[in-house]
Amino acid sequence: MRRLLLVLRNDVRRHLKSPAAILIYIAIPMVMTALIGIIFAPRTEESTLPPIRVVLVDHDKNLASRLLLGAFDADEVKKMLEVTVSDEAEGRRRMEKGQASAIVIIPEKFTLDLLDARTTVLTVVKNPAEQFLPDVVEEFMNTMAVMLSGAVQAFAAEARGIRAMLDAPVESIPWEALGPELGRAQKKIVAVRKYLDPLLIGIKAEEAKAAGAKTLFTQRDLFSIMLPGMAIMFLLFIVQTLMRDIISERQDGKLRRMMTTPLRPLELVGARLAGGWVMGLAILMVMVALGSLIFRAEWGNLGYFLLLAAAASFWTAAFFGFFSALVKNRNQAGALGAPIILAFSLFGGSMMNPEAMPKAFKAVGILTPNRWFIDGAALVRDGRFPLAPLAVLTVSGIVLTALAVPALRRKTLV
Amino acid sequence: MKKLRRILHVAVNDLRIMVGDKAFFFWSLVFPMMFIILFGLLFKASDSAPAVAELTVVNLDEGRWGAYFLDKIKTPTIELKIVRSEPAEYSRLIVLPPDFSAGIEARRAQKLAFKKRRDASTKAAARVETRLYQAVARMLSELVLYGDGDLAKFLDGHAEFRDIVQVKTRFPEKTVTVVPSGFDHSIPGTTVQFIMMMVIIYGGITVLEDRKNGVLARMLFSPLSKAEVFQAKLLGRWLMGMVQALILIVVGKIFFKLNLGDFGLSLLVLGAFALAMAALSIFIGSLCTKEDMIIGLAVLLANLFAGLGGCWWPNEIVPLGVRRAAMISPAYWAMDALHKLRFFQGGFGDILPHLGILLALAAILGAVAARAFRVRE
Amino acid sequence: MLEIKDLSKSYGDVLALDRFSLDLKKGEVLGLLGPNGAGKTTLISILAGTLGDFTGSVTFLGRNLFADRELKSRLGIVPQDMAFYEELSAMDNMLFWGGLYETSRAGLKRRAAELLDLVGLGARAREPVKAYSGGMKRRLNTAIGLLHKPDLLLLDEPTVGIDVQAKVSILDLIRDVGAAGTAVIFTTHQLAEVETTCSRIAIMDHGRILAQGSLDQLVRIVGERDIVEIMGEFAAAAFSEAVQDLTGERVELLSAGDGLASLAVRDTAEIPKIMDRLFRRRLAVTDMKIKSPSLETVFLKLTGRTLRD
Repeated sequence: MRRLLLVLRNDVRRHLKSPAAILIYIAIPMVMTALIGIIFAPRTEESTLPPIRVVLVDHDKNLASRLLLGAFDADEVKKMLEVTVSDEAEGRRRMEKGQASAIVIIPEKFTLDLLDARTTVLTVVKNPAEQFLPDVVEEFMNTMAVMLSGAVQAFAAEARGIRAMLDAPVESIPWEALGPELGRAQKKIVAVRKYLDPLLIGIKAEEAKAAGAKTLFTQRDLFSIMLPGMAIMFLLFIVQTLMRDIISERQDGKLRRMMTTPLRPLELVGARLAGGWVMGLAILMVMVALGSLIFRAEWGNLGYFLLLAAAASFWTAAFFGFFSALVKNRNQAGALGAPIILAFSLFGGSMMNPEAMPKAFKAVGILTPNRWFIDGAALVRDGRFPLAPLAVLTVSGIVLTALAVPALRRKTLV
Repeated sequence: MKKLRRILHVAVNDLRIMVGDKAFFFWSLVFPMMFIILFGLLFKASDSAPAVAELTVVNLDEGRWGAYFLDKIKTPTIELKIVRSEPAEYSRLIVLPPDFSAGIEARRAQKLAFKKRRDASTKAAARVETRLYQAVARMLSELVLYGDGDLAKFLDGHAEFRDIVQVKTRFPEKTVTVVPSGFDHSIPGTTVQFIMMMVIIYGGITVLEDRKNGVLARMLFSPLSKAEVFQAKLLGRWLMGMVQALILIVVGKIFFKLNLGDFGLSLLVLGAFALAMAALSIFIGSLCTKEDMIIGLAVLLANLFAGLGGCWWPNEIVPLGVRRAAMISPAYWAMDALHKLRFFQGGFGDILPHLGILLALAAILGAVAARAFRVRE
Repeated sequence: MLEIKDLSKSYGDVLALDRFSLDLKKGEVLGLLGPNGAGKTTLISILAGTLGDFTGSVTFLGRNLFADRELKSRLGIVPQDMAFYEELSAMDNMLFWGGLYETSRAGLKRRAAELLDLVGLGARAREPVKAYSGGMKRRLNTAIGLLHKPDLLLLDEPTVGIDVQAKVSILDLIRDVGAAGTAVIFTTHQLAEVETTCSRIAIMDHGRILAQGSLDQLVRIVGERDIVEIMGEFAAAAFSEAVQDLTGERVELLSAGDGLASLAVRDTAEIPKIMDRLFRRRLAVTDMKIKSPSLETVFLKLTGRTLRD
């Protein structure tokens, strides 16, 4: 045990003496989290997107198009859409510069078609280089179209009246006959108000209890969700670097020298695995501390999280211990290690929101430590005990250790 | 001529060694392919295979209006999962209360609880929410149209909602004719990102190893000068980036029907970009004394540049300030030029500024790398 | 063939080469000896063109070595590092390094195959070098330096860390190369190698050549003497008396005991004179041993016993 601790202490001291690589690996998740956080964090309570720039081309220049323009000018809409009235050529120029997501074209005779309850078409010209914002404009216009269609149908008779008034000379309008018509319109307006104020069917965003769902989403929440995925990915990188010592020492003869001392193979293997575990855990906690300080990330119950971190770093040390026993040399370890980590991270959800991933990717993700750590961290954040992730990481970690110890012992027989 | 032959000789040898490495296969093809497929499926916008957002509906309604409302929500892009009680796991959920029908028939305002997981896809949530509002608008229009009559009889016969105002979408003339596939977006981004990763990691490590093993110094024993060795190393790394780009593009063309616009000009953009990365790799390889430092720096820089440059997510969703900051990323200029070629049928004139910036960057990085280039420890 | 004149190079305050001068003829094999830090590697690096910022001149084949880069094609260098690509086979390495010189591809292939056979790697020429033993790598390292048939071959400790067989093979190769007319400069710490391989030995320290010539010449230059040990049936006093008239500049009586005495002589020609004096006095001699000074003795005498960094 004394010798095991001696080797362990020496390993820790060595890595602290030249920490450049480890520091870079700690810095990467922080930088990536900051970048993604800045880009995807909600800017206002309602919107996670920047204002969408739209060019409006009005070929109608009549009552309905003016109303539509007015609708774009409403405060709520202005938060989402930044509308400029211009022509299609200018819209195209702006699109090429990345300054317009869509052009909305109001057709000629739009007002007259509406008044006649004739089908009319609004055209949304989408920026082909953009993937999301043009769709948002399309959805917005679809909603506007539904509302306009509804209004036109509800007030079809009144619209016909207005149409007649627009066509006829003022002196021919039977003003005295308009009284009952206006009365009917008034009744409809009252009915509409009844449905709209308050809305007959409203949608209320609620704080959901299940699976930690929450409706109000802040930048801090985003950081809290992202950091565990990043942290486990770079924990894998760091522990792999640390465990590669096993291979280097075999190659450069230090292992042979150690084996000429009273140090027993089991003590050496134990020291290496314990070293990977302890240093991995320490580095993970440094990341947690930095995440809390820089991003004010929430981790939930620290005791639970510490258990989860210990299980994850134990798994990682055992995995790379076994891996080091299987590979031939340092170059092979480097060539295979990084792809394995990236594959774990890609399938396990470190690189993107698991919900957005294809089903096959999600299924494969169950085989990765990333997935269990990320799920565990989500449970801890929601105040729950991460029983399943802890059990999976610990049990599979023990299995890996059981495989790693004899394999590594064999490798010490130099 | 002799000089050129020697430079080419060393560069081709470097390329051969790198391509001969088994890990090259993984890094240049397998892993980027995983990225391409993942991001391609994620961002696919093709009409034939729309991404489907899930909505869990707890339908407790005791009348007929609940089912009618759900009919209004239905669309191919939304998958409704109807359940009787709130499940433990869901992405988005709406609850229709037991008195939903009764409330409508009594013309009593009610609010439907809509819940979404905070870590679920924002895009899917937005699509579902928009659809919900559209369904409400459709129903309210029909109710207004129905007038004061008994709403209990509404479902037995009423005027159907008509989409008088319709929305048609198209792309600007002389751009694209069909919706660009997710792969058209993901392959250029992944190619640019992996050229960065691969060239910096491999290029940097091999410079470091050649220096440590005395291979660079030995080259100077031959008629090669230090400047020529540097040029040869630069060329070798550039060739590697181009080989990788070609592999991904060819695979993309065969399996994912990739369309890059003008192929020659796209290669020109990738060539200018790969040259800048080749210079950066020599600079990093000359500065670092450990392999792990090079890998760490490469992962950091490649991810940062890729993230800023629009390789991972569409640039349009990025705040304006970050978009301005992205201009420091070489990936931004490459991606913007590729977008111009692919999506706006751009020509040489359209990408000239981008080429100029990438080549200027390559020249600056090349000068810095040449200064830092060492043949011995 | 090679004329080095007043070559000086310093690293800050440390003078690595101090007006170093050396001449080398065609086919001459020069062993360059010196303790660590003597300036050997600096000299090789300057000649190889990998180190600049020095003063002095180097004329090679009648031309300034540094003014004409193509002249490097006539120079072959075997560095101490195993400077080649481990991922490639020996043949591929030969073709790559040879390709940096003006050699036709077909000619290069032929020459590479010949050389690999010569260093005993012909049968494994297609295997990746990373699978080779240390000795095989050293042999390949040497063969690469010979690919383009240089007029001058510089070898920087070519036999470090290899077994006796590999060492003998490399030394044989160096001798053969010299015999074929190539001038060779060969640095090493193994004095025995120099004794058996080189036609000329130069001992350098502090950036200068301290002495050079054949081993005998070196011994004479440094004034080192042979030690003669004589055993027989004589008394110490009688022995001292018998050789008394010979002692002086050329002969020194180091010790005299009953039945065993030892003397230092400048020249072995003095030994018959000593024996003559003993016979005349009827002192019986049963055995005699002559201990000649070794290169090591000369080396230590010239460079001292202080440990170097």
